[in-house]
Amino acid sequence: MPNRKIFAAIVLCVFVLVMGLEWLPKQFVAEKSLVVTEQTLKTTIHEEKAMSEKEIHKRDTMGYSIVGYFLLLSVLLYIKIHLQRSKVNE
Amino acid sequence: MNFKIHNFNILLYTGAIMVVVCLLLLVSGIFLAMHYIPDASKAFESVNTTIMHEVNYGWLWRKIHALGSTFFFLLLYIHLLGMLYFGFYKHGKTKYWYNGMVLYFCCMVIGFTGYVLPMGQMSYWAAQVITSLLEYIPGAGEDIVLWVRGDFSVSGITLLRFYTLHIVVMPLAIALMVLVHTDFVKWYATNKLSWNRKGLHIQKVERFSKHVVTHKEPKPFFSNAVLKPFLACTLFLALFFYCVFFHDYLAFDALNLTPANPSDTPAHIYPEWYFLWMLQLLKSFFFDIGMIKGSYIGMASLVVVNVGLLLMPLLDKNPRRIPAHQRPYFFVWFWTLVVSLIALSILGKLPSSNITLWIGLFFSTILIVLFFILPFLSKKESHAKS
Repeated sequence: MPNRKIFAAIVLCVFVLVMGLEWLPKQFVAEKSLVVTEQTLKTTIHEEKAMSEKEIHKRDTMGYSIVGYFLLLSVLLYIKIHLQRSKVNE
Repeated sequence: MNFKIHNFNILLYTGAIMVVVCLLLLVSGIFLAMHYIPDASKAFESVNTTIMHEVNYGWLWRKIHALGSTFFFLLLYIHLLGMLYFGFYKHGKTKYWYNGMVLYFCCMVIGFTGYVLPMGQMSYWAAQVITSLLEYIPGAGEDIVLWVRGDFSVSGITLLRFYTLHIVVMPLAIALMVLVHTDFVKWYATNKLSWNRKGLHIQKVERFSKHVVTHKEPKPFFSNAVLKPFLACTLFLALFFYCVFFHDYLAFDALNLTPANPSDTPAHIYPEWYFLWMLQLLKSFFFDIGMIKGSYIGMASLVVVNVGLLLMPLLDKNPRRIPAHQRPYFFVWFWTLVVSLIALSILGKLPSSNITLWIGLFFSTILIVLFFILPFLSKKESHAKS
């Protein structure tokens, strides 16, 4: 079984699991989960009150920077591997 | 057909990524331990107020720790099922399988104790329910529950015990097990030799041969054995930090954001997602069979499945170590196992109703039957091949 098929199987299983654990419970008992929904909303509001807009913006910027850094590193590594491979083939 | 190392790179990378996640958990755990108070009345506040709002970047450490455990268990299941798929529990790999399963149980304990520490409503009740499962141990069940909790219900004493287990006992046990599991010394020696010979895929005979063997040019060691896992790790870290910053709700339950209240039982109690299939297995037998209570059957089925996984090298009678797609019966067996585990996990998160109970019973029965039929199935398969 090639790597791509294994990877596809893993992605599919994880997708089903995430949908089943995050999306399905909300659909299944919409009326019963009101308490949970209310608590979630309350928590969000409290958290939002505590954090200023500036702080949220700072966190978002930090998040994008870190994610961007790792993506850039991945691209550079990919190029390095590709170059090394083609060097060996020559 | 020989099974070559480059055929399962993705599954090997899960091990490398897990080491990175372990380091992240360790570092974030140290920072969290500096501010956490293991006291029943102060634990919730220390986590949700002190760490989340007062400590500089405390929110980041907590989110890394919580999401790290979620991703760690996801990788652990992928790694475990991957090894199962490729039959990596036979012929010289048996010790790794047994050791890996012990590691898995240790991770379960550290995951559970960690979930209890914030002392939220769901943490408290999950601890209450899961520790009460020990009551089903014949003979000394009640004494064991009392011994584990240190009290008649989950309290400050239990929290202190779980905290000690979570930050001292289990990390040490896991570190030791990981060293054994990765066969550290052997790995070092092999890599050192491979590095000197500029290739990882040189056969042992050739490696130790005095004569120069002319063969196909091996893949370069550096790009193959260092850069590729490193690339997998950086890609994973990009995804991981994206979830940490923008989808942190994946690791936090809404009900756990309220302090524990022993007098208010939630309508639906459930643990972290990686325990859900076990919880559903316990709940599935909602009826008594003769004199035997349904809860006892549920507990027995949980033991059967976990022991079945542990004893895979003995249950699988096919002597050849080949991947599941080359074994028609085992292929069906494997995917039935995966589907049952996913279905039970999803059902465990849903509130109990007639439909979920019956579907749960169906998948639980399948899961148990799978381990009983495996010896016959694999024997038949090996006879058919020969």
